[in-house]
Amino acid sequence: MSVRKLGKILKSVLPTALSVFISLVFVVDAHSNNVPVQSAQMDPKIEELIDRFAKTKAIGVFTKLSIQTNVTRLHNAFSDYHKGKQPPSIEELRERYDLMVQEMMFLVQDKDSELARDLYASRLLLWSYLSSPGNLVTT
Amino acid sequence: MNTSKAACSTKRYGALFFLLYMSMGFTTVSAEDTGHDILIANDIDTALTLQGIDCDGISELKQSDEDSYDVVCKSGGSFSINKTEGGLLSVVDQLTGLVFKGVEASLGAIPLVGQIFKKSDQLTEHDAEVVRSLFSIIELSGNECDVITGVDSNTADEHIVSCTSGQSYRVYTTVDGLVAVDVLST
Repeated sequence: MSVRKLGKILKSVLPTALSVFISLVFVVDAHSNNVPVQSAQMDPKIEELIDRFAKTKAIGVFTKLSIQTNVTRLHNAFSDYHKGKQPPSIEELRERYDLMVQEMMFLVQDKDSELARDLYASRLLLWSYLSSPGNLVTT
Repeated sequence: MNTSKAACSTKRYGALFFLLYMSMGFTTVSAEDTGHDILIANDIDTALTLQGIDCDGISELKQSDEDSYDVVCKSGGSFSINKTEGGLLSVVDQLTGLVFKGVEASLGAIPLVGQIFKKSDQLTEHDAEVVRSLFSIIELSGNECDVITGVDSNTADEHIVSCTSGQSYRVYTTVDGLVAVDVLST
């Protein structure tokens, strides 16, 4: 019962966390409770991908929480970077981003290979789209 | 009298049937519970691996609160797992009492990474995160790498990972768009 309840909470929270993950170039206060505002030009395909990852049954609730925790940590590193704190360099953040995408792909590829492939196919597009200065989002 | 006997017999068989039905019901529920526990244990094991904790499977699982579990790992560690108010995973090492919420931008937020990557004097947050990701992919692929001793990056999609006791792995993305782990040496 509690896990189902947890699942319901995740359904509402995870899309936001994953949006944060793929919208890596944010200027936000890492320790504030401000919720990053998404660019209005977000590709519907990206939104669909986020929704599919949040809803996939290929991984469990605690696994999704764990991913969310790692995503938040990476988001905080980006936040620090945009505040001028280095390291990490942008190349290091890119390596972490790539590895986290690989982790997510690996977790779902056995039971939801289509989602894994779509994650991979969207990876470079996401990076170039979201790291473009025009798509920087501030709170 | 015969009618009464028949009624009595019907009652008896009815009761037997009821007991049989109930026992079948309980058996089903029990089997479902066991299956559910296995799913939760596997889920938590994966969640811990993603945090860099080498659990090697869950040997004991106990629900301690609504969204909390206490687990004992086959590798020997004991952890309390729960969801934080912010929707993140909180892991408490029951032996040391250390709390790992995993969001603080400090090396301490990455549990046991010092054991995974023994170059702790040179360890940066970036190193720790790279190692954590590679460790989790290798472990989730069914391979073992207790301690990572070196990482070489050929491309963004390809890493060669060296482990203690001589194993090395190639972690990469195939042309089909799937992640693969090749054993290079054991």
